[in-house]
Amino acid sequence: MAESSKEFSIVGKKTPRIDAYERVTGQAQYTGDLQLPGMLYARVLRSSVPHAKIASIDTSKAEKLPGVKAIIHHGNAQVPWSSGGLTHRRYIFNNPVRYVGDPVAAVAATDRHIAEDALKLIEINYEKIPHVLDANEALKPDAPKITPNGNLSVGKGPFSAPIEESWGDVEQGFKEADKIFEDTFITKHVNNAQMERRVSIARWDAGKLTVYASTQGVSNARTDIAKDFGLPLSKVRVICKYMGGGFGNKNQAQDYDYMAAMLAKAADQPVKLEFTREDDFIGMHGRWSSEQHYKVGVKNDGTITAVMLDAVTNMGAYRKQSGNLSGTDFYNIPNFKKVVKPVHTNTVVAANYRAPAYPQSVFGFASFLDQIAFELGLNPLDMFLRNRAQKSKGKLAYTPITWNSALSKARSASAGAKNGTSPAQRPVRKSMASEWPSAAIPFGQALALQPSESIQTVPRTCWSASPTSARVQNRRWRSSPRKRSAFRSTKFNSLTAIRT
Amino acid sequence: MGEEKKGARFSRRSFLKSIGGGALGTAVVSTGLIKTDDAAAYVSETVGVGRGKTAVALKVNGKTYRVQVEHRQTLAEVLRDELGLTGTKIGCDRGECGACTVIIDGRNMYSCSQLAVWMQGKDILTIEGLAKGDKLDPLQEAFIEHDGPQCGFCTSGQIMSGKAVLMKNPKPTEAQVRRGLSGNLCRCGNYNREVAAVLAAASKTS
Repeated sequence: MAESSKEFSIVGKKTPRIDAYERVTGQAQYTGDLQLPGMLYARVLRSSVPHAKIASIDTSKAEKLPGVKAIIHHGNAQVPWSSGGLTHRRYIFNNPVRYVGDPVAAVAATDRHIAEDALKLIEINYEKIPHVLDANEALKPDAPKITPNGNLSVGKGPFSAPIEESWGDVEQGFKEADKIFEDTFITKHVNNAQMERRVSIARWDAGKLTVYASTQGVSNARTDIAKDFGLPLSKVRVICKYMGGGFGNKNQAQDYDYMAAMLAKAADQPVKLEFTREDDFIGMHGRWSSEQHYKVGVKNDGTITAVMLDAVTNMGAYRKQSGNLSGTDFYNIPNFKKVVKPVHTNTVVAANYRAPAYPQSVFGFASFLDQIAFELGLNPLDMFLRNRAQKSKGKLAYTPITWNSALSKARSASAGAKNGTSPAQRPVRKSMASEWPSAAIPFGQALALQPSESIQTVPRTCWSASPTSARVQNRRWRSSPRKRSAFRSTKFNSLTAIRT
Repeated sequence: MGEEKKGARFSRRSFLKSIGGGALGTAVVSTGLIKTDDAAAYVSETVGVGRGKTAVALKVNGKTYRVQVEHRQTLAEVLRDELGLTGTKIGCDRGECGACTVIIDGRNMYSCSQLAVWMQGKDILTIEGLAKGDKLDPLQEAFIEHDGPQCGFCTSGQIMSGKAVLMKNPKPTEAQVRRGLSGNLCRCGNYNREVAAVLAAASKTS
């Protein structure tokens, strides 16, 4: 696209971030920075076993510790957490506990060290139940049942069956294909790991509850809290100060908001409940892991005739969100059938993490198409362009202007690199920071075009933190410059490293 | 909670226990490991360890604060909870993320991994001490100019590490800046902007 020569007074001009001054001077106040008068500090005790009935819980020693003001657990604080479990009822403290990290108790004390000390004095008698950690194992008939309905995550309404989507006739599509390819791709659970540890401060004033929550969804959190506490909306206020990262998993009220509120009520003092970093990893949901089996029919020219996707996604012990895999959305597939089975296991919960259903399956499907292009002797970029969808589900148009100009720039730059005319002589990296899902590359993806004209969409979140899904990329990423150039010299190099 | 590998790891608490809150001010040692197989005994023994208090004079941003600190309190906690200097953030509380970075006697250090009682006589600089009145430090200005902060939670630490680089070497190379900031994680992924900001501040001040 031609660059506009028109000068504007605001458009095209640099504007400092509106709160940059506060952020660079340390004045920006995050939830954890708040100090309310008389405020207590709270910590959470978590299950040390993956699956167990709590036979007894003894808090008497902890209560005697000077400075301890309130202790809550399933026996005295049975609050439902409606957005925490969509297929079976979840409370802020559950009995039985269903994963290592399931909250068992919370303590409010005059300082955080005393709260931590008190956790160690709580005695819990677990009656262990057999557990299952792997999604495929969990689907076997003799696997320990995590929910009353079994381990295939089904419940009411939109969650009454596995996720299925189909159109056309896949059998006919495979008959029309010149070649059929099958392969399996896996991705692992990824934690958001925002820099700010999770924190919530609750205060009651004459029956009115104020929660200072580090949340992306102030309104969602407010309605959730009002519903689960049985309060009218007018009695609940949720305030979000500066937030230290969200990345899509802070859209509802969280169990620690409820715990802070219950502790504040029990102690009749404001309570700040902070997670430790360990709490954050074992007690908060991350991106669902997946095992994706694809069967793809193609013509010799690269045209897709049919795709079948059979997948399981590991949702952990409770179902908070869809568990879907949607990476095939960006392609024109005339005959399509998808079955995704969200599964419960005795592992930490998985739910929304930026572009929830996309990076996992864009990684799987885009990687597979690159491999297929290699097998067919085609240029992966041409194969992508041949099959890419112009519209999302045939309706809403993707953003073709930026997309096409980015692609053509990348293509010409890589051609230059190939001829040795580019000064950098390095793979070109283009990021598509576009609104999910209205663009061809979901938010959180990087698109790389190599001098070999291989195109690679990289699920950055998987790539940066997931050991298994990213194995191939990481290996190349860490390879020496000399090795990288060796990769570049390969004509159809489908999985190539991205350099920063 | 987190104590599962007793004897295998060095933790702040096990270290505190080994010194019994007594011989403070010694250098970090690697002998503070607890050899016990009895989890219950370990748990009860560690409860309350380090609760004793000592008066220290903390010199922070040129001001001297006299405070009673618990032996188990870290510098980060005391800065935030006792002195109200909440610009220093705690991201991991175990010396991995760098959000709590402050400058102690000219070196950038994780304040979550320094006990407050060790800080007697040290010169501590935090994010709040960089600006001179309304005049921002050139590095802070560069962070605004280059959009260094996104969510901003790591920003204080990034700036303090960048400042330490510039205090040591006013004209660092890009590689030196990257190395200097390598102990500071940013989950929004603003690394390139943070490096650019430090380099820009270096060229501005020269």
